[in-house]
Amino acid sequence: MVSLVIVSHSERLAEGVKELADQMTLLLPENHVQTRDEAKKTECQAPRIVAIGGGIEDDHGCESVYEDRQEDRQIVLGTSAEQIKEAIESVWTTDGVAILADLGGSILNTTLALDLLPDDIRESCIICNAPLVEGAVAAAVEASLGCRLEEIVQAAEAARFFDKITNVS
Amino acid sequence: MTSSISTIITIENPLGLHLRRSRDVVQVANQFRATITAQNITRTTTTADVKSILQLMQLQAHQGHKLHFHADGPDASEAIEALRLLLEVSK
Repeated sequence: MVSLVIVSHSERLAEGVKELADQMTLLLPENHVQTRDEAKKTECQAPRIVAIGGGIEDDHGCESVYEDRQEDRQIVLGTSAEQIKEAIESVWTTDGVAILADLGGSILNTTLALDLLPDDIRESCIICNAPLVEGAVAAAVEASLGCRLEEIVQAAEAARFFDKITNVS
Repeated sequence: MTSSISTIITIENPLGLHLRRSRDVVQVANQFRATITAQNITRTTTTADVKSILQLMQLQAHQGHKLHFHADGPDASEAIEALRLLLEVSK
């Protein structure tokens, strides 16, 4: 079963997207389905999803720390190639990993993270060219249905062409 | 034998066809070989592939909205009945 990695500058955003994606992988009880097509029978397990964000980098990385006075805490915004690499390794299987990332540095550091990984892992990881929330929701549903990595990436990337507000009466 | 079936199903859930319910619909639809589409005829939306969560969300179906389902394939009638079972309940 394909795993998902959610990458964001914000740890809380990554966790929130994971929360949503996890909900998309919950399976219905068997009695909701009257007939099962054995050929398409899905695996009764949820895909593994990991969230990573708010990474601290060295002087060359993209790190930004600021105070949240209302909540009296320090917020770190940024991504770390090393942390993304570890996140990928934590959920990787031979079925592969689909990666959803938010913007700019997330994509750059995910690309760097892939370069740090051994060939066999890197070759079965794909960064989805998709919006984070819609892409993660679509990917999570497809992953839970036992789809292949390429199908999952395709479903996530289809989100680029969907109107959020449709012209309805 | 391939069959083709059309039917209208009314959304009974007070929250409408929300994200998690749409997930259930996609899961059920994917158990069947038939191609299944739906159009919200209360709002006259475009036609959605019921096996796609993102297309289902575009139907923007609230409680009481009528969806026109069409299934095409060897298990079309079973697919429609399974979806009816799922959508015509109020919880």
